[in-house]
Amino acid sequence: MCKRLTAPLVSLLLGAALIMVNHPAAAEVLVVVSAEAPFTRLTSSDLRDIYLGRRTLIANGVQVVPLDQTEGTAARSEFYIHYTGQTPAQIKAHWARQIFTGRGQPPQALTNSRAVVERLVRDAKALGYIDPSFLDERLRVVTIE
Amino acid sequence: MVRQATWLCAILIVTQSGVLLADSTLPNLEFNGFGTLGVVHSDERNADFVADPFASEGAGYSHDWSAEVDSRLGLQATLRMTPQLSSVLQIVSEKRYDGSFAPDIEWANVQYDITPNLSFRVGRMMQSSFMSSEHRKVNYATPWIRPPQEVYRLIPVANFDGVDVRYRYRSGSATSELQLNFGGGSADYQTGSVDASDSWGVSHRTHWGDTTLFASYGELKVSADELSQFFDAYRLFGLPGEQLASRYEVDGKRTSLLSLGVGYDPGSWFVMGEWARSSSPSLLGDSEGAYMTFGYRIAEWTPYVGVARAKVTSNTSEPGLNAALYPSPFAEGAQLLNGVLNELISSGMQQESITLGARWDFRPGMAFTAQYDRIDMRSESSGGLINQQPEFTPGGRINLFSLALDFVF
Repeated sequence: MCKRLTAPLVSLLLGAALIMVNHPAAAEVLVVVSAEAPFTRLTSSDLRDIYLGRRTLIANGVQVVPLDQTEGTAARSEFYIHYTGQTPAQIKAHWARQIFTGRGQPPQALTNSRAVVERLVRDAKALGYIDPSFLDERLRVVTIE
Repeated sequence: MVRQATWLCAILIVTQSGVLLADSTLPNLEFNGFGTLGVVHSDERNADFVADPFASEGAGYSHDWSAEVDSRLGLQATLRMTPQLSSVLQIVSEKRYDGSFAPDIEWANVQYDITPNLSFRVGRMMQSSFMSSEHRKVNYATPWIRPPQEVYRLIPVANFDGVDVRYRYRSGSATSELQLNFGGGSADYQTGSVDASDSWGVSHRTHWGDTTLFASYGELKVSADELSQFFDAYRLFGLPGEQLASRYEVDGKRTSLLSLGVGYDPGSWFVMGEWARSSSPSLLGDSEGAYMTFGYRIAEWTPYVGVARAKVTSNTSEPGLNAALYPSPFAEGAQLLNGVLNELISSGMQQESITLGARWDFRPGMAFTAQYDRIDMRSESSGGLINQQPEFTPGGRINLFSLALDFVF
């Protein structure tokens, strides 16, 4: 009896999990900071402003240094499409407007999630996004509200 | 004078702050560049279409397909000396008044960040007269092949030597930037130069979610040697000549520019529009321009459509001196002067245009754009065309086809 119920239940759960994974709204990157960082929450407009270079300080005057992943990486595209609603090309055009009007340079770009993790654990001010498989106890996931 | 003081100030800041180097990643030097390889065809054979009114030739009369209207290369070095102090040098090579592609300094300034939200700059900068003024030469950063000339031609002298202060602040979830500037600039053309002195401007830009709001107001004093000589000739004609000269002369008078802009970009599509008005109690007169562009993004493709309009709101004709009152050869001289004066005050841009285009972002930092413009010039208006030949009739319609490869690195 029990066994007869379990099989459909398992397939139902698996199905639900698959739907969640394939759901376009679900990000496949995690926004993370060092476990030592003074914040674990950001509003989505804070996150967008930080990555677009419009602000470097969040509430209580906490300084945040964003880290990028190299152009052309899947993590980068997913991060920008999900959290800023803009394609990599739009982000590139945005930075062209900033650079060539003397308003600053884009965030430092690191080659992959591993490099981002290495930087985050050394710098409590740094903010990054990584592939979930690189998450470990030295990091904390930032809740985006 | 302002210019010399500006440069002296810039040099002092750089030399005095060398001792402040502390951060191990500083000083840091970045090199970036942008450019456009573009060709444009105009079906008006008796005059040249140009993007820059100071260029010597363009498409239509001089070239069937011209690669000189939109093509340019810009190189920039950004030096960050301390966390507060940075410097930008940008050199741009594009078609000049003398026909060359001689590189010129577009930006050269030193910036000091008093706080992360308050910056002070001294040196050469671009006016923020319109929403896209500061990056108007970086075609990659704008949706079009060139900014709508109905608005962006209102103030052709774009960069200035002086100072500016920028202040960024937040209110709720909106970020804003207030900018104040003061300085002067000049632009050379084939037979002389135009100078803008004592210019000041204030602009304000707000990003609120997907919405951008922009407003700017500025004033400048324009002077041009050639025009001074022209009005000196008018003054030879006694009181009526004096009156005409003081009514239309440009030197010493202030031209003002007001502009408003709005943009909405939720990601998959965008719309942007601007309206601007320039006013001068001189032969430059009062003009208004506006445009609206709508674009839709489908993967790497961005088709767009735009409409624009420019009109002169001050008088475009002037009876001038009554030639009958003067003996020969003064009568002929008066007629000649009246003719030139009328040509000048009727030369303002008066037109409506429709733009259709598509941009293809085929690889990071590179885009290919094709654009068609249909420009309807109102009667007597020459639509900002240069090198007008005797067979050219103002008030016609021109069709423009443009292709451009834009890149940034």
